Amino acid sequence: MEKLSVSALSKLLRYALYFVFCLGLFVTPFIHYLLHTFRNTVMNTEGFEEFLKFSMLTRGNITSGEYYSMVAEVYLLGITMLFIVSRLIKICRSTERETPFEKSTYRALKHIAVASFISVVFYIVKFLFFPAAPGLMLAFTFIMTGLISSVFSQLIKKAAEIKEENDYTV
Amino acid sequence: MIIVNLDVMMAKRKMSLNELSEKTGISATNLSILKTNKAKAVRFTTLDAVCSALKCQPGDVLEYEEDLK
Repeated sequence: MEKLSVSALSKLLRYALYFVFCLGLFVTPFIHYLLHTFRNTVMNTEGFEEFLKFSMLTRGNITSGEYYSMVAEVYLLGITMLFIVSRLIKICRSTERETPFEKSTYRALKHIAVASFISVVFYIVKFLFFPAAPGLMLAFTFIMTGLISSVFSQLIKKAAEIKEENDYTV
Repeated sequence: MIIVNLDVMMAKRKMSLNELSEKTGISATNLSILKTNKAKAVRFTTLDAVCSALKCQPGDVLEYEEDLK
């Protein structure tokens, strides 16, 4: 019963992640176009501009430098999320095979941590040149993701070592 | 390091791996891990079963050799 529910939940999560991955794959290439449309329509509304000035911490109109840094930021977010989701699908597959405590799971979690920290560095550098609240929020989110996945990767590594020792005890 | 000389003892008693597996109740997979020196630990019950099946002492199956660095 327990085994069944774990693998069933993992399967459910995997299909949800497939959906997210496909959606990301579909949306990521058109981010530039989406933002352009967004800028031309919603951003030109009077009240929204005020809100945007407040939330982006900018003093006046958004300069082209700020705009393109934002585009780069959102592209990076899309690519990082695609990468992380692909690693999560890998972990789900190994959980379904009932061999979650493996080197491959450890490696996948480590990749997630490294990808998160790399994007954190980018967001912080971007924040120094073009201060904006969303970037800072993303940085905090990715710091948390990176820390959690690096801690869990160490946990899985330890578990894999113990499992190997147990497997080779005759 | 500890070396398992199970194959030597099995040859002396003219016993095959499957035969030993049947006599001891230890799976052939585990016996092959033991025989090829991949094992990281051996339970006393396993050692007991192996020694009683091969009619020998633990010293006949296990051997200590100094590590060559």
